[in-house]
Amino acid sequence: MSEKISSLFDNEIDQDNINKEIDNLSSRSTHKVKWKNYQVVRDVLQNNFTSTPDLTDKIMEAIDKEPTQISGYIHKSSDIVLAEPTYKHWKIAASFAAFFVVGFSAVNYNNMQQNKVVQLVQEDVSEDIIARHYANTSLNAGYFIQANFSQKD
Amino acid sequence: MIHKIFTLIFIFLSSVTTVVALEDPWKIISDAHSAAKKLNYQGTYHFTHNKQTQSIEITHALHGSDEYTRMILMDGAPGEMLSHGKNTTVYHSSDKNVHIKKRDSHNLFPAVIPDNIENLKNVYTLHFGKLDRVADRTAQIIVLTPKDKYRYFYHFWIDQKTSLPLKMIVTDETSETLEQASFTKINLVDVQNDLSWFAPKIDLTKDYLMNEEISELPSQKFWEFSSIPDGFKQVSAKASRNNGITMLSHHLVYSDGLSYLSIFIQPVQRGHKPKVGNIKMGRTQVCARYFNGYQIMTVGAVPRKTCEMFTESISF
Repeated sequence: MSEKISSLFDNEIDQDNINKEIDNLSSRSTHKVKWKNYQVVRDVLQNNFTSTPDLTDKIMEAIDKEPTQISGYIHKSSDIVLAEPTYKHWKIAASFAAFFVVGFSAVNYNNMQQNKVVQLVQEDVSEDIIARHYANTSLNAGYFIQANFSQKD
Repeated sequence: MIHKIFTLIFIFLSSVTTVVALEDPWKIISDAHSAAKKLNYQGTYHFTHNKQTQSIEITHALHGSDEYTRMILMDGAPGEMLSHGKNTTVYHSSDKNVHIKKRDSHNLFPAVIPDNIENLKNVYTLHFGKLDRVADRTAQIIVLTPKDKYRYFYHFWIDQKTSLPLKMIVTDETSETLEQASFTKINLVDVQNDLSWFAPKIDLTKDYLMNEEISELPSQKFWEFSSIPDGFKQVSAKASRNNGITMLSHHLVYSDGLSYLSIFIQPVQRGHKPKVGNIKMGRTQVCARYFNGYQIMTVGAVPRKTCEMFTESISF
């Protein structure tokens, strides 16, 4: 029977017998599958193959079975290729960690610098502070007049 | 009989004097305030501060309702102050220039007693001392004793005739003298019509510079004090700009009427280390604290615990 189907597709059957053979093949379900397969093989060989509903269904079914990808594109062919994005994540994480450590240290250093207090000594009390204090609070005309005037000549 | 009459008169006069004193013992203080503002006088007084004594010549007149004062420094670098009502200008000479600056009016000796003495009654106790002689005049000694440990003792010699303060001494709890002002010569006149004296002495060899280096702005309060000594109230609050940063510095002045202190709130700039602790510079206490990015510095001729209390209780 397969030979008949094949000869039919290879135009080796007489034109008179074509309709008869087609009816005969179509009437039996077991031959229907083979009929479809020979159609596909012929179309591929003749570069006429586009798609068939069954093939589309199979492709969609195969896609549905694939695991969901959050991002990126995973090549199926190699485990090495699959391992590469994981390595990249580690690199990014390491970069963030390094940045965090350096940044935290810098901020902390500044804070430490800011918060590092020292004991007050007389030199820390600026002339300006004393002058402004006496200009506003003195009972003494001497300080009141001289305050805020440093010798800048 | 005559003896009995004299005894009765003596008892009557004594009781009248006692009643007057008991009725209004603080009147002598308010009279002293009025006398310093309303009398016409010209004289010289010595002021001692931080073991340095300076002579100051003062002329004061009430012309109509306007008050005019001129003070001239008689020692050291030349300087003078002219005050007309609330307008006060100081002139201070250096080697080449005369700096001119407008100032807020202030309670300089002999006008050290504030307008409102009610606050003084709350924090000081008034004591009458003996009569004494100052600048060839008779004076009544008055002592204002603090009711707590947050202020000093103020001794006044009040002219018996005019109530003008002739002398003032500030002492601490150990009776050590901190400040002293005392007239050596004073002339009182009834009317002062001639105001030709109210002008600065011009030195043509020097340049006159208007000194406006620190532009002061009104201060917006963002701080609070959790606890300050009784009687101290804010007298003024000013803000000034800082080079390189947008945050302002603030200068607060607190007073109980006689004691004054300044609180400086200044942002700590990068590279500057905040200061903590306290020191004494002559009679002036200075307390420092670092809080929330700001350097708090309190300065004043007040006891150390007053200085520390203001410094430690501020927050924002």
